[in-house]
Amino acid sequence: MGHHYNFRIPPEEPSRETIDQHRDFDAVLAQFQAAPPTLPANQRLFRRRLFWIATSAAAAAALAGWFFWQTNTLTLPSPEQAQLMAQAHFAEQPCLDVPVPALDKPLQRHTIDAQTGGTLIAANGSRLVFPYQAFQDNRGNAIQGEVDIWYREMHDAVDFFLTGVPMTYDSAGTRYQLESIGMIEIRGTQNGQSIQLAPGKKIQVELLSTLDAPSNSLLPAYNVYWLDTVSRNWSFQGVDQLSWYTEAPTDDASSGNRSLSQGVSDQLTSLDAEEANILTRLQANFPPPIEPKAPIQANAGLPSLDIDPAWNSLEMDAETRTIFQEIAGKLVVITPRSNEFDERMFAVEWDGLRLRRGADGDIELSLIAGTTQRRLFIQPVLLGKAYEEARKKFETAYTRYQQSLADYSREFAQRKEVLLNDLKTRRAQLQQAYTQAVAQEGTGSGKTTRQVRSSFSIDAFGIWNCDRPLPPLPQQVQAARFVDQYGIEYPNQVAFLVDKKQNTIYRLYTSKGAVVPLDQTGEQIIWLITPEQKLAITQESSWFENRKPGKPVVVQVTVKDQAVHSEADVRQLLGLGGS
Amino acid sequence: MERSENRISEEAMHREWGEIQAAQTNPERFRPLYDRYYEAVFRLIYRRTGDEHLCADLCAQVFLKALQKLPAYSFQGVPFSAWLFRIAINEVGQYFRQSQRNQRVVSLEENHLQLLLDDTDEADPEEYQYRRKALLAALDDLKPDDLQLIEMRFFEQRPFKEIAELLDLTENNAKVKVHRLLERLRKKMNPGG
Repeated sequence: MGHHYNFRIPPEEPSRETIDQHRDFDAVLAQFQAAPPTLPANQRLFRRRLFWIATSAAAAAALAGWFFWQTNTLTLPSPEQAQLMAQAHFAEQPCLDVPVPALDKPLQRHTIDAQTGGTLIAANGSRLVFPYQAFQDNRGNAIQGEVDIWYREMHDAVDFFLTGVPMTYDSAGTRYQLESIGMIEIRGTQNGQSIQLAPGKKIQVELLSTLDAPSNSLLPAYNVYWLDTVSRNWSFQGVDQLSWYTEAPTDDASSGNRSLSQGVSDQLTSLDAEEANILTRLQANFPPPIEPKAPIQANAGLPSLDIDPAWNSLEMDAETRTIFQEIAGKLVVITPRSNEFDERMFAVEWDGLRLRRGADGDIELSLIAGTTQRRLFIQPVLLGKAYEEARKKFETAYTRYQQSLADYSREFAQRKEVLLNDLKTRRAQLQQAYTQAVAQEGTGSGKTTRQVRSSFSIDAFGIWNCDRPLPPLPQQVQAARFVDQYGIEYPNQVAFLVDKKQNTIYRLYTSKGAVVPLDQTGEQIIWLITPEQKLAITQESSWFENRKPGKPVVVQVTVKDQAVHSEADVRQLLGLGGS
Repeated sequence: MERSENRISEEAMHREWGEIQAAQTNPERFRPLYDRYYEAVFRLIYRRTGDEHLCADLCAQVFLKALQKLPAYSFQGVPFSAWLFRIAINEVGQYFRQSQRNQRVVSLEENHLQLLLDDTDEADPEEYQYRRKALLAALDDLKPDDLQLIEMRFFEQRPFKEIAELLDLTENNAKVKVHRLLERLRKKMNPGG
């Protein structure tokens, strides 16, 4: 015995005088001041980063190794490698990645009577109609009295920039850039506690926005998406019922042949939206086989939790109780999907829990205390022989799954081809028509700005977006570096790109070899935020025009001395008008 | 067994939060907190290292880390001391994981051992020495995290609530873990029974 620990019985205790001899706060302070830490701006971001770092450690290590090699061989990574680095970076950021917290657009407070419902009229005339008894607390109890509704709208690239809303959409394995006609964020609280919409209750939304379009053109088609902050993706909800809200101008100068190419262009964009919808529906109606989950052995490096049999006394519904009886007394791991996981939740006394079995094998565990609720995804941990048996079963199931997946991929590709065949023909015809229309029209804009109304209903709080997928910008160049007028470089941070023809914002990662999407026919602006919280903006396009084919470009930005205190400052510096 | 000298009142905890906020903006104002907790942190580390100079080094490291992490500290309704002790426990753990030369020290009184024997089985006074040896052997086989739970509960006599705060567990979870450890010790001491 005594191999591992040195047991001291009885213990030796140092005297107070001995302890005081070592007490030296000034020395600790001097050491701290010599090398103070660089801490992230807020705790939430820090914890979230910790979580993502844990889940993507292997990927990060591989990327770091790769980056080291690249740096030392002085070669530029391929566009695919640069995209991978960008994806790894953005995966670590919060879903709503607000670039300057002080400039985040505030939500406005409105009051609604929960019993009778009511209408919220926003400053720009948008209307939201709430039905009666529309709200419940986080435990499903109907809410009475007045509730606070927190509401804001985002309409243009500056809004998307300031709020950090993601503008890409992954559908059936393809990533689309989204162009928005308007977005809302809506939350509800009562006495400071968050509330939910009751099941079956919907808020009717009439969102007013402006659209630059020829007066005689058809309205483009938009979809409605809800931002799923768990999967960090937009979730398709339906089609936006878009209508003109203001009459066409009587001045007919903007109509005529000039609008022809814009009309065809809109139809082409609608075709892209249609394609995305077809793929979304195909995937919904013909889902891929479910991948079996590998059993988890103890010490898998994930946070774990003992399901205490004593929790039996907590409030739980029938389904919860059934699942609870199966896992009581077992050790479970908290899977990386649990983005609400925070180690501090173990210090909270929860008074209720809810368990639900997911289709993917995870168990959803909701912990409830008062009106607070936190959701985790857990899996029981297996030990010894039970693990070996489960592992064998999994391997058999996984072989079957791979076969099913290969069959599914073939079948999916065939169905997709049949469904998109018609679109392919129509696209070719439209592209031909577009070329002819452009040739007829010559130059000039011929556009007018009109108000449009998006009508849709929502059944949950969160961020709702009326948008459509955009075709990719026609050119892509690689950037060797981003550098300002003083020669200072801005590596490995986020830069923003706006093409004034599109109502969206592109987020770039300024690593060596970053891929910059461009359209030479458009008017584009790229900017980034300096460590002093100033904007550094591309002033002119010489950096792009002087590029040599196949060679990386140096993106030249100019740091603006003007301090940025408000949204108006941002709009003025970027030259992007009001929303 | 449910009292601990480290517990402070709600009011004191809130008052202390004011001091912490002041220190978050000016590190110099961390001094009263340093003075208040230096001795407790020193003793906690000393019980696990048994070496005065090593203990002083680790103690300085703990307060340096506390200063570095302070801007991210937010009030969670638990004493500030729990946060400091957690840093100290992590520092000690890290030291012994990296050190090849020194053995982790476990400091305890004879009566604490007696208490644990009572908890693990009905002690027979005549067999005390035999059972004591068996218990120390069983303790010596525990993993560091498990031994720490026993140490906090039985040798340092901390309440479950405080153990939970220090180890980032729920109180129930701490109870279940200790209960299971006692079961395991009992089995090791009585392999046949």
